[in-house]
Amino acid sequence: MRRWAWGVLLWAWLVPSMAATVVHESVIHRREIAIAKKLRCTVCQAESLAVSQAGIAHDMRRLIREKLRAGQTPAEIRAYFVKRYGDYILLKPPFDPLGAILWIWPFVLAAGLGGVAFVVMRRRARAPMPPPAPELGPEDQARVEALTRQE
Amino acid sequence: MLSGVSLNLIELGHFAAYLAFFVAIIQALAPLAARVFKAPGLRTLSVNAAPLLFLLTTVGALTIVYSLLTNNFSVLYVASNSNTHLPIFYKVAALWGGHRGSLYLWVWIMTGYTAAVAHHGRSRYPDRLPVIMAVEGALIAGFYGLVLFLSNPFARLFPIPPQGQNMNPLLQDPGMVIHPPMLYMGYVGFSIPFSFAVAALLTNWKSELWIGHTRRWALFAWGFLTAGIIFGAWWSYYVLGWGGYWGWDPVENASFMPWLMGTALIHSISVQERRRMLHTWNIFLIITTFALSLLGTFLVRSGVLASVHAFAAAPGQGIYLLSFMMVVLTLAFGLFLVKGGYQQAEESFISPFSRESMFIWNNVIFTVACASVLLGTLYPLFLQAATGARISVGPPYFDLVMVPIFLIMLVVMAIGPLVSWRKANIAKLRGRLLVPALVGVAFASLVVIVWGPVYWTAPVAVGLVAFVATTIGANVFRAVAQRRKQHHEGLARAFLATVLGNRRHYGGMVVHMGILVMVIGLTGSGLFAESKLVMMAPGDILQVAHERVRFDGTRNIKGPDYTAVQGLLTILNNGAHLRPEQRVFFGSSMQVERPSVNSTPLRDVYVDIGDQHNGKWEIHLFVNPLVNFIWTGGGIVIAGLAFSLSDYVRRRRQVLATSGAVASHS
Repeated sequence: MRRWAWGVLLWAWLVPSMAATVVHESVIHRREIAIAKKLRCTVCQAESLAVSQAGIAHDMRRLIREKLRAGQTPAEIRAYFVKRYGDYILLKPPFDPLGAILWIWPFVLAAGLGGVAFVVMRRRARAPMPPPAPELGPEDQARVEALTRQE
Repeated sequence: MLSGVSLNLIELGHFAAYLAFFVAIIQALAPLAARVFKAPGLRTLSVNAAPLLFLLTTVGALTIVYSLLTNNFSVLYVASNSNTHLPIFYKVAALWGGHRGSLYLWVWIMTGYTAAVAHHGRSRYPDRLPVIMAVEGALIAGFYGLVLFLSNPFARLFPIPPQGQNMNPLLQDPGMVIHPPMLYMGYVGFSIPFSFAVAALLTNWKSELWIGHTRRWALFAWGFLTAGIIFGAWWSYYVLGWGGYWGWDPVENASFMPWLMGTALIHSISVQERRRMLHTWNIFLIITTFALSLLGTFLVRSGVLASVHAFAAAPGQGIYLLSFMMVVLTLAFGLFLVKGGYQQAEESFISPFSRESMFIWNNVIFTVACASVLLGTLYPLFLQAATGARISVGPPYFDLVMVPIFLIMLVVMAIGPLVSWRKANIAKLRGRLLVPALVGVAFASLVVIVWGPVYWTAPVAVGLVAFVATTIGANVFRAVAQRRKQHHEGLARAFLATVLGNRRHYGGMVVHMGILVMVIGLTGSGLFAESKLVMMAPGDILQVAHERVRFDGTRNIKGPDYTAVQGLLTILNNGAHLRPEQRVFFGSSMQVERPSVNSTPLRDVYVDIGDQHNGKWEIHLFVNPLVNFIWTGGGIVIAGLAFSLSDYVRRRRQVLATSGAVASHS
């Protein structure tokens, strides 16, 4: 009975501490993937660090992991990579003079096109249409007339 | 002996291709010549050229396939894309496994479409057919120029090597065998509406007379493009081994852009058919869709963009394709600017809130989506050319920009089919939207309750899907109920009569349902996928999400044209085995990872095996929820499209039956 109690006590003491380290590693892992997804593999053609199978991508992921374990924040790690490789490394272009147009364009376009569509629809809805063009072209009408004359 | 025969045959094919080139030129110029020389008889020449062109191109294609099958390594294309170990299935597919062959496939498909239009048009629009054929002929001649002079699949190689190189290992997969022809059927199919539109602009062809034909060709092409994109995603998922299916890769974007504009087009044409408006806009959409198809081909085939598809890189041909594209588009858009307004709308908007206005919002959204993808794809290229600065535009950008656009699209998808033509009845509409909106909110809340408020997109997407699905269901239910009241029919009978009686509409609704199923799959797998990359020794157990997987070791295996290390893993939850491979193909030092997937309707367990270090293997394990919904949804989309198009066959039968009855009566 006593043994059991010791066992339970040991279990109660060990499991949370084990779980704590596990959670810790899994948090690091999740952060590592989140960071890797937003960084480009420098030797690949259009892949992120998260999906690339290239050797350098492995190394860069390990670097991210080590920096996370050393307590650096994701923002610090991203800044480190940008300092080394330039904006090119970021798969999400920054909102700076060069990248701003990418972020503004969809909104400008949506507003512009939507505005034009709305104005055109309103204007057309108000203005009555000109009488419809005759269904038959001049040639057809001539043919119809010729036929009716024949009869 | 055999090789002696095929030596002659490949030259026969080469000769046929040259003949075809000249036939295409004749086809392009005949109507013009008829006009200049005042010899109307010449016009039919361009119509009669079309089947001949297809026949000659087919001869060329068959000789290439024959050379591949008989290992004729005196043909450069065969020697560099096929070898004696390659399975027969892939030998045939090697026709489009390399750059030169895939361009030839493009031309072949184009001549096939042209021959089909020539056949179709003889009885229906004989007077404009020569002009349509001339436009197609000019496009074909342009591509033939590239095929024959810069990228010739018939080119010979001396001395003859004893063995060929291997086909790109990544392409050796059934998905990749189907993907390129499907995609090309889509890309090239949009050349038919393009030719109709150009012919109409040139000859002032009344829009009502051709837009209906265009719609069917566009739907046909759209279906193939959709299927091609889905097969491409499938291939990316099951072969590339990165655990995903869509990476916003420039070449994926290249196929997605014509799909977006094509989708806008097939919706917009309906408005013109029903309400006789948007003539000019439709012509613009038709030209733009084909322009994006050409751009896609250029991007893929020139290697100008860094991409996982860049195996087809060939800069010299890039310049040709770029110049050709510029000429075609300058002429087409120039013609559009001069004559685009040759036919004005014949009816007006009655209210800015009507079915037609909903279609216009659909068009606005698709255009914005397409233009955003276009900028994201090309901007890094322009920036580097203009300033030398290098930036990347990748998945995080596209996800952030496109997901909201798609969600807005779902709202329009729900409301659009409920709004009546001409003028919406607001009170009625409100009544019809109330229940679906409540259902949507209920589902969204359920998502938040079950999975927690992790991502805002998950509840919003699921809520909108439920909203749209309920509106579609309620719509069908109302129509069936009305029919039962009128005809006093049973439920099943009334349902069948309703749905079969308006295949075009209900086919479209089935397509919408398929899209909804895909959205569920995209949301689930896009947001809730989990993965781990670890070193494992035999006997180790790895857990991702709720799946526990044991690594049992490896074994060496031998395939037809590769050797591989195969990982042996067991999913402890259901006892299924996973067999990922690390393949080394003959004649290639490249190692290719081939993932192994265990699929159930709700989740995929997906595993890759990498290199070995100190008795441990690198294992990349993914648990991807709901991926099967994407493939299933894609299947539903295609089925719905086929059902919608079957309306055309049915009507033609009816017309033939009545005309036959009239004939026999008289």
